[in-house]
Amino acid sequence: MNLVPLVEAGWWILSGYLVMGVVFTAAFQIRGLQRIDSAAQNGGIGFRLLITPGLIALWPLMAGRWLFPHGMPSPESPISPRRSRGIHAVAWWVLLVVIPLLFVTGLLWRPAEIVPRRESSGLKSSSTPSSQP
Amino acid sequence: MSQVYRAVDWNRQKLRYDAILAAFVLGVVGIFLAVSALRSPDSTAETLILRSTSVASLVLLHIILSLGPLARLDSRFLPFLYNRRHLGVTMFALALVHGALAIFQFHALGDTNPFVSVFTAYQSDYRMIRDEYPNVAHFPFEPFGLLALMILFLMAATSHDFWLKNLGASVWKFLHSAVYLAYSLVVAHVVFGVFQSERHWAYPVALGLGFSVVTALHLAAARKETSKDRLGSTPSNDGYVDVASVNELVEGRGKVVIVDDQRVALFLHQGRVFAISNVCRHQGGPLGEGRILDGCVTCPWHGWNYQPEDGCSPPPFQEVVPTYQTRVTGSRIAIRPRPNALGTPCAGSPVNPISV
Repeated sequence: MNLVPLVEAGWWILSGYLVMGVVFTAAFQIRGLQRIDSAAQNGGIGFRLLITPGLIALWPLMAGRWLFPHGMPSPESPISPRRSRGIHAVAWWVLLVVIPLLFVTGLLWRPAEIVPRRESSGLKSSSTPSSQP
Repeated sequence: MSQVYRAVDWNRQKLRYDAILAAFVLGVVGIFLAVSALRSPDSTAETLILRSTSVASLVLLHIILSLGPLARLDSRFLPFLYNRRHLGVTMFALALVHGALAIFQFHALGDTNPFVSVFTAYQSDYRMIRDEYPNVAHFPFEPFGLLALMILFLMAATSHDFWLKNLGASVWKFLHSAVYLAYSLVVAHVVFGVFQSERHWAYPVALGLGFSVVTALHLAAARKETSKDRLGSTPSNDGYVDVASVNELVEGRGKVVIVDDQRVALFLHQGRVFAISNVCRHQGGPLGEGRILDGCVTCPWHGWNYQPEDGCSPPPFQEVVPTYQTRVTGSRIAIRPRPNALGTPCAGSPVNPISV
């Protein structure tokens, strides 16, 4: 199966999403920030720079909070320790199965000798990894 | 806890914490470079930086995953939890250096999009069955690392309290629980990458030991927390629930009790018993494991403050936790399970001096 067209499509979708995030972040930093959070009104340039990567990445969530303040769930709900403990419990039971499986697969099925990676036929030669980091 | 957001609310403890963190990271990188120089003196500077940042990042990830349960098991570890976000951001920064260098060194020098190359470079090279037996030597390991890096980016980018407030505590906590998925991806990245190109026994032993320690700590902490929740009480006819003896309280210190399946923090303050929710509004820290400083209940995780009389943070802060009605009869303390309306003043119940 040739994954290249699929990954290329994913790259263009991601790029488009991030470009929209940059545009949104510029508008949000000028108009939206102080509207959704009064504590941000006098936030310094350091604070604004610090939240910028998150705004670009999670712009749909913040756009919802800015444009539809009454339609979004309240951000004031406290953390539920019981729910949190539940997530932890599920996560660790899954890890207890997955991580040993990864170890077994990686160690039992590796060849006796180190096998150098070959040139990949699907890519231009100069972009093909020659060794592992 | 800040009325106006700053990039970092520096204080003496945070500066000290970060100085220790920087020294630790430099120590790990230094030791790795020294060992690498002895074992493979021909390695290039890029390769050494690539490997040392990955090792330092992996060590920090294990420490980050251990701090939560360690603090639950032994309160002496609470100071390490205080500035864990800087630990997380440092870990991400190291992973980013590793990822960026790897992509530049192995994927960015050709005419294929580096992002596409990471996901497809080994695609045509990999055969699960090679020479009639299963073989994972050429399994594509780099996508695991890139996906883990993306998750760690989201966590680092949303580590500021602005995000906790505006995403909402539940969403924020859920997002940051993705660290477990990131950990699995990192392990897969190492198992199908380093384990296939390095045959020294120390690599699988070190990673296996790290996973075992982190898992054992989480299971032990979960067991302790579960046993706490089982210590519930049944209400009497007047709706109050007997929860503790006055003798169990120490002036200015908290005690966690279970009422109606909820954890409540009891405090003895100036001869009166107060009860507030055990859940800090910041990151859900256990207020009952804190103490009263300058007249305020202080969260043991990040130092957020609440007045025991009404559950409100001192002005100008606006956070509020629920309070509960208390009643002291003789040496016994009872609580009404239904919390008061937020911000309701509650004088607390005086303790008979003889019973203390």
